[in-house]
Amino acid sequence: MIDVVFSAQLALAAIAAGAIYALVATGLNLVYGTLRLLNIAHGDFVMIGAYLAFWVFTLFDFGPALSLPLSVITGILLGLATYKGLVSVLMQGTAREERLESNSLLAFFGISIVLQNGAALLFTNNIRAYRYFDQVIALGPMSMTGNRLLTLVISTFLALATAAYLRFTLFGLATRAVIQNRDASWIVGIDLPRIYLVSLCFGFSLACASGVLVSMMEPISPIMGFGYSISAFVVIMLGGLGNLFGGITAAFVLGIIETYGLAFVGSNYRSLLVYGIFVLVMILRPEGLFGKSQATR
Amino acid sequence: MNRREFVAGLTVSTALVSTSRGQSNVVRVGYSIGQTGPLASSTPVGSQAYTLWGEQVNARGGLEIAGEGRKRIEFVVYDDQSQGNKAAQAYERLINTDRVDLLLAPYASPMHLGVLPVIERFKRPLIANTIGTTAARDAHSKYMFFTQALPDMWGAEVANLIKSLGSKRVAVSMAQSPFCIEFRKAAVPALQKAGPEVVFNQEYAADIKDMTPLLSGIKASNPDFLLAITFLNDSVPMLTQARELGLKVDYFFELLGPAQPSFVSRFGENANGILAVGFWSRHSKTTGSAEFFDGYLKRWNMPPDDKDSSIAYITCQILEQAVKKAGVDPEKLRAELSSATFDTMMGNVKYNEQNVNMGAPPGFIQLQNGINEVVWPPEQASAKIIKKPAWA
Amino acid sequence: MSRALPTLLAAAAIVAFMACLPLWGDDPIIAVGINLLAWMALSASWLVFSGLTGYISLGHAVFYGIGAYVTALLWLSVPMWASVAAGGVAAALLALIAGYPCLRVRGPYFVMLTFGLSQFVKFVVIEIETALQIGGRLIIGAPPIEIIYWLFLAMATAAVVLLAVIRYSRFGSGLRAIQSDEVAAETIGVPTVKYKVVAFAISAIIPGLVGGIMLMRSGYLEPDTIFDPTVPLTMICIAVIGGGNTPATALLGSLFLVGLSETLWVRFPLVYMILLGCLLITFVLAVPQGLLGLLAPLRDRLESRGAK
Repeated sequence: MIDVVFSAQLALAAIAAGAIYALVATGLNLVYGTLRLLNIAHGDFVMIGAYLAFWVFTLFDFGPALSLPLSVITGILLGLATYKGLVSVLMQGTAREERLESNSLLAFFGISIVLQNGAALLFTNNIRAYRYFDQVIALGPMSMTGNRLLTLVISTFLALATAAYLRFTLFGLATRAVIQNRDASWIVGIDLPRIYLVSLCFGFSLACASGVLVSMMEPISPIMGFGYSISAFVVIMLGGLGNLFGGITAAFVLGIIETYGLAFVGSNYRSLLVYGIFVLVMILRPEGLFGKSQATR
Repeated sequence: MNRREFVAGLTVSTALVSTSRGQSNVVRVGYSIGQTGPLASSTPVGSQAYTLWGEQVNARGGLEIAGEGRKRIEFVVYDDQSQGNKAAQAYERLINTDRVDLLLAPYASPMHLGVLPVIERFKRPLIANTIGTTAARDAHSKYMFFTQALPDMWGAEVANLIKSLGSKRVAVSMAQSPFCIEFRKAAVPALQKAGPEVVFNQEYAADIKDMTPLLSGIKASNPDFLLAITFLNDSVPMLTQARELGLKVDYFFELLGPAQPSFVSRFGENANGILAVGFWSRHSKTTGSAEFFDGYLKRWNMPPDDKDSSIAYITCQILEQAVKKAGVDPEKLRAELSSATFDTMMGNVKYNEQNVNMGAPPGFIQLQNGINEVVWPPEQASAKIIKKPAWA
Repeated sequence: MSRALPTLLAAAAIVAFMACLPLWGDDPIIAVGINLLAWMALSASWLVFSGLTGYISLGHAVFYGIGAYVTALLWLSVPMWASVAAGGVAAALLALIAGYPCLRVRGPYFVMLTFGLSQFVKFVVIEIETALQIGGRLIIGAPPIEIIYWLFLAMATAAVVLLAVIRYSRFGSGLRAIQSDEVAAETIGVPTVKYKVVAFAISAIIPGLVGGIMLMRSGYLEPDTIFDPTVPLTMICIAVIGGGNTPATALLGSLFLVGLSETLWVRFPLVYMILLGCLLITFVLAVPQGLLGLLAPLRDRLESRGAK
C-alpha cells in the first residue's frame, strides 16, 4: 500500500482531478467575486460545452481544436445574454447584499431548470459519448489516457492564464479591485458594468470550455451539470469566495484529498471525506482556507 | 409549446373525447417514465422501446385482443419525475381518470414499488421490467410480474459462470448502490462456496471520479477475474483507469454499463471482452430479435440498450401474447400471465408462484467486436466467451 | 383578536373542506390534495426558520430524508405512528446537534453548509445500508390513501398554525430582528444563538414527519432518493412565489405551484419544468413581493370596505 501512496501514478491522478476542479471553479469564482451572484447553473454551462463538443465531433469530425474556441464564443454570447437579461435587473433592484445572494440563487436555479429541460427537449435525454484521443500515453512510471492528459494540461493552462490575466493586465487589476471592494472601486472610477460583463463572459466561457474537456471522458446528458455546480461551490468556498488564487489552490487540495485520502481510508469513504471536510471547514473557518477573516459571529 | 407537443396534446384530447372502449377501435396503454429527475438520462432507452412496439403493432393492423379483434394502440404517458410517489399518482390517474385498458411498467425499482400498492388496490396486472431489488419478492404481489432476474439470482449465477471459466482468483469491487449491494450479497458467498478465492473486496461511493487507489489495490492482488460491480456511471472511469494502469486479467466483468450504447461509443475496441449482466443480443435468434433491433435502429438512429431497451420490449411481447389469449379483462389477464409460458427475445418466460420469471437462468453478455453477445447460459449463447484482449 | 377572527374562521372552513375531500373525491383527486398539503406543510415549516431569520437553508432535505429513514428502520418493529413520530424526533435532534456549529455561519456560506451537511448525512446513510448489505427497504402494510391524506392535512394544519403562532409571538419578533440586523438584535438583548437553533430545530420536526408519511405513500426507500436536493429548492420556490413569510405565503405559493404542476405535469412535463424555471426568474426579478404582495392592494381594499 505504501508503494501506492508514493507512486507517481497517484500524484498524476491527483493533479488530473484537481485540474478540472480548478477550471470549473475559477469560472464560478470570477462570477461570484465580481457580481456576488450564486450561479447554481454553472454546471449547466459545462453541460452546454459538452454537447457542443459532442455535436462538433459527431457531425463534423473535429475535436477540441474546434470546439474549444467555439465554446469560448458560446460562453461569451451566454454571458452577454445573461447580463442584459438578468444581471442588470438584479443589480439595480435589490438593496441589501444578502438578499441579492439568495435572489441570485433562485434566479440561477430557474436558469438551470430551463437549460436542463431545454437540452432534454432539443437533444433527448439519451446519454451520449464519443471517442477521442484515448491512446494511453506513458510518461516514465506513469501512464494516462491521452484525453485525460490533454484535459489536465489545458485546464491548468487556462486556470493559470486567468490568474495571470488578473495579476498582470490592467483590466485584471480592475477586476480584482471590484472583487476586493466594489464600492471603493466605483468611487475611484472603475467602470463597474463593463467589469461585470467581462467577468460574466469570461466565467461562462471557462465553464463551457470545461464542458468540452470533460465530454471526452464522461457521459454526456442534460442532467450532468448538477454535480459540477456542486463541486465548484465546494471548491470556491474552501478556497474563499472571490479569491481566485485560493480557489485554484483549493481545487488541487481537493484533488489530493480525493486521491490520497482514498489511498488511506479506502474508497468507500470518498464522499464522506469530501463532504465531511467541507462541512468542517465551513464551520470552523467559513471564509475558506485562504479567505480573509470576516466577522460572521 | 412546440408543434410536436401541440399535436400530442390534440391527439390526447381527442382520445379523451372518445367514449367507452367498446365503441372505439383504440386500445389505450398507459405508463409513466422519468422524463425529468435524476434518472432522466437512463429512461429514454425504455420509453423508446415501448414507442417502437406500439408503432410496429399498429403497422401490423393493431393489437389483437381476444374476442374483440384488432385495435390500434394509443399510449397515455406521464412523467413520474423519477419519484415513487409521483409514479403512484400517475398510475392512479391512468386507472381512474384516463381509464386505460392496459398498463406498462415504469423504469427502476423505486417507481415499480411505488406503483405496486396502486395496482394491488385496483387489481390491475403489470409486467415489471427494470426492477432490481429482492424486495420485489417480499412484496407478495399478486398483480405485478417480475420479468428480469433479481439481483440475488444474478449474483448466485455469476459464481457458476466464474467456476465454469476456471478462474481461481477473483477481485471484487462494488459501487454503493442498491442493485450492486444485493448482487454482491449473493455473489461473494456463492463464490466462496464454489471454489475460487476472493482476493480483493472493496466498495466505493457511486459518484467516485478517480479509481487509481482502488485499481492499484486490485492490480496488486493479482486476480484472473475482475468482478467490478459497477452502477452505470462508474463503469466508465473503471475501464478508463484500468487501462491506464495496464491491468491484465483473463476476464473483466462490469455489472451495469456495458449494455448502454454510449459505452461502445466511448471505448471502441477497448471495450471488447467486457462481461456484463444481460440476456439479449442483436445476434440472438429468438422471437422478435431482428425486428426489434432493426426497427429500433431505424426509428431512433441509435442502437438499443442491450439490457434496458430489450427488457422493455420483452414485456411488451409478453403483454401482446397474453392479451391475444385473454383479452384486456384484468382478472383473465392476470390468470394468463400467471400460468402461461411466453416466447420472447430472452427465450421462454414463465412466472412462478411468487411471480418471478424462472424461464431461463439469469444471463450474461460480453462485448465482442463492439457488439454485445449473449455468452451465458450456454444453451442461449450467441457467441462463446473470449478472454479479455490486450488493451489497444 | 377580533381582527384575527375572520381569518381564523376562514382557516377553519378551509380545513373542514379539505377534510371532506376523500369522501367525495377519487384517488387521483386525493393524490393532488396530498401534494398540496405536503408542500404546504414543508414550506410553512421552512418559513418558520428561513422565512423569519433570513438564513436560507438548503439542507431541509436532510430532515425529510432522516425522517423517512428512521421511519423505515423502525417500521413494523413499533406501531406505525411511533415510527413516523420517531422520524420527526430524529430530525429535530439532528437539527439541534448540527444547529449550534452551523448557525455560526451566515449568508451564502450557510446555504452551502446546509447543503454539504445534507449530502454528508446522505452518504452516512448509504454507508450504513451498504454495511448492512441492504439495497432498499420495502414498506408493507401502509395505511390506505385516505388515512395518508388526513395525516398530511394534520401536518399542513400544524405547520401553518406553528408558523402563525411563532411569527406573531415575541420569539418570532426576535427571529425577524435577527433577519433585519443580527448584531443590533444581539445588542438589544435578543439571545440570537439560542433563538436560531430553536427555530432550526422546530422547523425540522414537521419535515421529518412528512418524510415518514410520504414514505408510506412511496412504499420503498433507497438512500439516494430520499435526500433529494430539489425538495428544499422547491420549498424556496414556494416561498419566493408566495412572497413574505406568513402562513398565507405558504398557502398561496403551494396552491400556485401545485396548481401549475398538476395542470402541466399531466401532459407537458418538459414544458412545465421550463415554465417553472421562467416563472422563478420572473418572480425573483420582477415580483419580489410575491403573490402576497400582488394581492395586498386587493386585501387592503376589502379591509377598508369592511371598515366603512
